[in-house]
Amino acid sequence: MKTYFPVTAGLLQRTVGYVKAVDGVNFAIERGKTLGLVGESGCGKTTAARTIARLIPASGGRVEFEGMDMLEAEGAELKQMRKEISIIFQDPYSSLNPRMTVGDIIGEPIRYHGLAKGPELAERVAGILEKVGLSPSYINRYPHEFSGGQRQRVGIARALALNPKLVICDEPVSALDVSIQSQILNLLKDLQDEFGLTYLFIAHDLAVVEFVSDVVAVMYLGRIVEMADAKALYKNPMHPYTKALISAIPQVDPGLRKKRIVAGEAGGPKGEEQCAFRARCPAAGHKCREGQPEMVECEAGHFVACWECGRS
Amino acid sequence: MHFDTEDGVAKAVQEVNFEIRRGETFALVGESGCGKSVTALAMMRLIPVPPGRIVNGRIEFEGANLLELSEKQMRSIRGNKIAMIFQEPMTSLNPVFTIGDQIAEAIMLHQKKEYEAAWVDAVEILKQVGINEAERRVSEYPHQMSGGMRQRVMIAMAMSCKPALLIADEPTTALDVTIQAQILELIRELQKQNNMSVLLITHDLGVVAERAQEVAVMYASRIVERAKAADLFANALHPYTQGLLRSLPRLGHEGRRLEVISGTVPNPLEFPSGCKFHPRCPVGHDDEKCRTCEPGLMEITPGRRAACWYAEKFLK
Repeated sequence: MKTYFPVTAGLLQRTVGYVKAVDGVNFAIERGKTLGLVGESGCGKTTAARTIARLIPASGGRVEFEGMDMLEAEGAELKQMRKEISIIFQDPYSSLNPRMTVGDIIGEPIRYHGLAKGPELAERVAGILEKVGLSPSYINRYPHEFSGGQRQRVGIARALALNPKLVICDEPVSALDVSIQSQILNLLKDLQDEFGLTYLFIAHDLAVVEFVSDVVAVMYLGRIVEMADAKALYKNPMHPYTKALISAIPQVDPGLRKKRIVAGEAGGPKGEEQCAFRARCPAAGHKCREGQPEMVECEAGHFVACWECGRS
Repeated sequence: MHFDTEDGVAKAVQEVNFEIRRGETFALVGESGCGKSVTALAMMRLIPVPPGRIVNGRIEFEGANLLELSEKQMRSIRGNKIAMIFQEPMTSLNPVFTIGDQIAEAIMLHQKKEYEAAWVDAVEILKQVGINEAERRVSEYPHQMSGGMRQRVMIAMAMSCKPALLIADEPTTALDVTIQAQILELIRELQKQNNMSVLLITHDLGVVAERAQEVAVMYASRIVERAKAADLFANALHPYTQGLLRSLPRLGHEGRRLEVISGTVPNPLEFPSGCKFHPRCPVGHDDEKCRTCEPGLMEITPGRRAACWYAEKFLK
């Protein structure tokens, strides 16, 4: 899948180039499981998520869901898809309409799809509120009356309103305090177990991603550089960027601290024909100038996009 | 430090006492709303009065009580002897001035240098904080730089007059983890070079464990535990600290669920009676004493204090 944003310049706003926000990203998520998409700011993970959710147009590729190409779906097919794929946003303060009650926010998608109305709708909304740990008596309250953690629960309730199959979680706990974060993460896991949900979980906090995910993909400047089973990735990271990320995490337990691998700063995506990470890579060799490495299965189920990996 | 609001008095900071030694990093840890940022701003007398009101206390710095100084005297200390860096570099840097101008401003003000000389100093400091092509970038505007670079600029501004104390309020929360590691390393380097003390305010316990010598944990306007960092992490004595440490997702964590601290942080307009943490405390929520009497920050063993009637039980 690719999502490019045109860069315009000049009075006539001619397109002079592209920011390749998502430049060939390939992955599959097993039903009922969680794929964690991790990477730093600007790597394209949120853009990828929004493209999958059809909130931004894609520039190429396909996204298959239940046998259909989601990027091509239109009309009735698209409407159906919107019931089955939902999204939880990062910022609980800007993702809820401040002029709607919590009941309206959660009920709106149900009403729109004609699935219930009147007292039946209210009952359904009350049921969802309880599932996310909020009292149904809150149904007529406004978002500003809640804390960040509670608002995020409302966001989750809204995402569940239509009994989706796939839920895209875009940094759902990054804006929350540590003690609330663990409550929300537990809730997400419980809901997954109860409803057989499939999650695409996006975050920059590696420990959170490892806890929640079955498979993890690491993104850098629009491409996936490593993908593996969550535990395997952390025990045995192979791509130099993944190693740098893991080494940078400040650890409370002195036994877990690793030697810091300092790797400069990401320049903007430039799309030159060389490995995008070369300039910051402690292990860069000759081949790294010659082109973007493809993802190769270095070990069973463990994919890496690196010229230097698995060759030494 | 109390705030007078329409809904009543918000007692944002009550009972906060600590000492920072020269050259040391002291961490003030807590979640949103505990009062840590207000404490830092109050130390610099940056809280507007009204609606703020300093009810009592003293802040001793280099022999003087900061609360007794005039505004003019405070201005000569801020940015000079005590400097502060903030969490959101974009909103703390002036968008309409070049970074060179902003750094030079502090130098001209406190070191009485001329513009040209201050500008030269600014370039030098930018190099020290690790900004490449400093001669070119010094004329750039904040929006032309990434978050990590802007934070380096803030550090450059803060260091320009070689302060004795640097207050860093969540300096890396908005930054990626690899950049965070570099910024924290930079602060440590500067600290060693200048024998500078750092008050590090953060909610990130990992950062505290790696960088601080002494830690104070704040909850609902007061310090609930204070100890050397190594002691605190090896053996936390206050149930809130214990709860925080247990609820962190750690790499290599086994198990389907994370531990939680149930409930939420109390509203400063309506603190619970007795120990402010008791409603959420696995030990104290049903306890008569915890419900009616607020414990002081008691010394449990030398160098380790906790505001909990049962802290001794947790001592290993």
